[in-house]
Amino acid sequence: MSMSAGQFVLKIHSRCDLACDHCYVYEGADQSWQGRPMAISPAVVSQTAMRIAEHVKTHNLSSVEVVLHGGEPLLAGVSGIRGTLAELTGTVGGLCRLDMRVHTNGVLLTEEFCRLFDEYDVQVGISLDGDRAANDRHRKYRDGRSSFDQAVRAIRLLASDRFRHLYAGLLATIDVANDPVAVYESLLRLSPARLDFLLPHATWDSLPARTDPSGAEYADWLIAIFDRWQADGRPVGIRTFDSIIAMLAGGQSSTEALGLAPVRMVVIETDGTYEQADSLKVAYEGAPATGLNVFGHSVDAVTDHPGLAARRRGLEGLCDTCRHCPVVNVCGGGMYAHRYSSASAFDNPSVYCGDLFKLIEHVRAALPPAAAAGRNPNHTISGSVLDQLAAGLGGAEAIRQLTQAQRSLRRALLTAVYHEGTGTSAVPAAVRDTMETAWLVLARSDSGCRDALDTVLGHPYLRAWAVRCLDRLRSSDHSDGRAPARYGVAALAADLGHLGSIAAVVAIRGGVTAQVTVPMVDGAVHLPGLGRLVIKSAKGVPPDTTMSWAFLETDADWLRVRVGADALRLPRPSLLADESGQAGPGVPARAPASAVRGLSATWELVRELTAPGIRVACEDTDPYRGDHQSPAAPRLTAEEFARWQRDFALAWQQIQSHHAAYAPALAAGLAALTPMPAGATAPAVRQAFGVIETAMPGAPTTLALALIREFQHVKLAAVLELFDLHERADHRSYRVPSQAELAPIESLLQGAYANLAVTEFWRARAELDEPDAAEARQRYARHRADAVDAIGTLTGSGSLSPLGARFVEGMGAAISERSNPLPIS
Amino acid sequence: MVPSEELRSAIMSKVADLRDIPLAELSVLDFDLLGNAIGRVLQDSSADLTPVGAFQSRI
Repeated sequence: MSMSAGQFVLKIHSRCDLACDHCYVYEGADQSWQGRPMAISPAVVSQTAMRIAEHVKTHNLSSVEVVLHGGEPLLAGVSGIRGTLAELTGTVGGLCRLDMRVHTNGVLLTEEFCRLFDEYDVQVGISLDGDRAANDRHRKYRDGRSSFDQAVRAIRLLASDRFRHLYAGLLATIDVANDPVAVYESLLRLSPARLDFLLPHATWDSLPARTDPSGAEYADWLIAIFDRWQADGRPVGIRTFDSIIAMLAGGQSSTEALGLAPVRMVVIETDGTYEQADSLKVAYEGAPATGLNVFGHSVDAVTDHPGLAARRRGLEGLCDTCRHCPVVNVCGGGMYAHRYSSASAFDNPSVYCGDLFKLIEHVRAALPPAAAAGRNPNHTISGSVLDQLAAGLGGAEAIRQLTQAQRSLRRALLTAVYHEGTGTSAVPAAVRDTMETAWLVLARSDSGCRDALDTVLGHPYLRAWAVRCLDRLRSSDHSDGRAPARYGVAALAADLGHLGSIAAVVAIRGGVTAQVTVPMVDGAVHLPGLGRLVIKSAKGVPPDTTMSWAFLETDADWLRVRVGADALRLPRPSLLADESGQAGPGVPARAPASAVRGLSATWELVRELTAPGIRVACEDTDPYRGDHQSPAAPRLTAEEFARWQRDFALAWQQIQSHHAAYAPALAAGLAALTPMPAGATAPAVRQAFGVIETAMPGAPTTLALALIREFQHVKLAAVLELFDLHERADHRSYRVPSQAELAPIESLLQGAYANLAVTEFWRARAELDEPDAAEARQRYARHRADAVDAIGTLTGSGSLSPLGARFVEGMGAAISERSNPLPIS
Repeated sequence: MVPSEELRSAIMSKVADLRDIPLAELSVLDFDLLGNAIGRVLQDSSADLTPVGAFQSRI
């Protein structure tokens, strides 16, 4: 199956109102623009939207980006652009997240355009080369007039309160004759959300302007800005620098100009012709051409084109010099077009090779030691543990190694929520202050009571909380002060305020003095991992039926809670469960708190399900359990909990007796079990490592199976966070055995991995002299066949990494060696 | 291809070990290292929100 495209550059107008002498569209070797319609027609727009929608459905894409580009796209006029945006939104917007952008020289930008872009949520980027002197070197009208004033007027309009949320940033093309710091400062004064400095397009046939052919003055120019940017505390994102820094830390580039990531971009010209990256126009006449168009060809046909395929070959697609270069993983060979020579096509280093090398090495040297990959080696998994996991097993040591990495991920998540939450102006100032206070408690605890912090960070739903916060913060760019688009501010505030709850639990566990503000959700203060305090006023009703805030004070002996003018206090031991899963010595599980100044409360602690060799929290209070599609069951009654305890003990007994190979990992890694409503399907809780969410099964055997099966998902999800077992950019849909729906490759892998254990489970059941032996044989045969089928599909997908191939091979060996076929009676 | 010898020994993951970096330092010094870790966790929900190898002539 073809690889998917994720970005569509739609040329809506092929002419420009400026005549910049460094323009790659009009001044490059390819002059195909002269034969194209000036403006895109409604028919081309409609067909393009249909092709994108078709592609989204084929590859089950969750999002695509469409960039309105030119020439100068605003020449298409408000009416023309409105038609394009409406068509795209109507045809594609209902299928996936549609990220629409426009990049313009800005000179035609008016309030009317801005209102249109606001209506369709289109991000606007503008080209400006720096201050007036810098900009006027190249960005001029055909008659030689400066475009600076018009461009700056447009940028100020975008930066105004009304439209700031649309302001994506500024792009400047480098001219080394300009003062780099002056260029940087002049752009910074225009308050962009993001910046980038582009190397002027050039090839080995048409070299970039240099005063010293042997020097690296483009690197020197960028380094001057980088040093200033670093010294300023990185006041704005600069895409080139951000990408280099990210890749030095093992991350990814956000520009095609750097890195080895596959390019998933397709260009559509005004006549509906599909093209490759338009920067290729500087290489030779016809360089971007594909010979394909929206009326006759699908997007898949374009992504299969050899020109686009060549840009997905990573290291293998580079020349020998690049392949042996120490910075190749960061540089990626540079911009594809910049490698071109008529003598050896693209099999060359970039014409900016020396500049890129010098810049990358400079950035590497300038990073703080902690950010250098060397000081913080990545987590490792031993080969034998990986092989055990691949076979569907893995014991306590495997869980220990996976858990270590989870600790790093949780520290990262916690920090990111704090960093992004406090850095987003759309978050109310009071909430940001609350987060700052909580963060101080956490940072102090990091050295003072690390065990308490580690315990709290190990709580399964901390991950789910953090991911929800980051998803909400990133659902649109709030850093510009715009209110969150898809979520209410109150909901975001409650989520971010949960950082206070986390800090409170660390303080309670550590027995240290702290003061934090926490959200009350549905009339309760939630203390993750400990329980919830359901607060009532003296009249017996919650102070607020939806959400309000409580102020908590902790010390070695007490937790004091204040809601408005009312307050109460609880002895700290009553909040901490003892080893039997009950409240502290002498404190009943539902100890009524002493009412002080008009409040009373019921403390509902997190109870534990226990059996010989295992203790698991019964999570029936955490506000981040379940989700909107699968809400968790409400708090269990004492009778319901007793039934869970009984069935859990029986299920564990079965696991130890008949499925012993799975017991050690469960005992070491299953931290919590969350009851779901009857009939709820068990979702794989990727964002909550260590927890299984399941409805009360009808029998202990069913619970034993659910525990084994769902923990397979937990293990594999943790492995997938550590390693790329398959191509992350593989957005194809795969046939899943015994299912009608197609699914992404990760779901196929997860299903096969779960079936490894399910097959083993039923094989063991079939060998028991139990009434369900015949059914067990049938189930064994079906799940085994499904696993073999899925493993075959995975093996033939062409998407597995070398490690992924090894892992799937291990799965295949396990299913064939351990699960010897049983005769089906 | 990863050499088989390497595969038999410890296998380096894509997640940096952040356990010994104080939280206070993480928040100011290691945001990029952090971003990589976050990217591993959020890959399902956000992997294709920011296209990799993205079109250079837009921001």
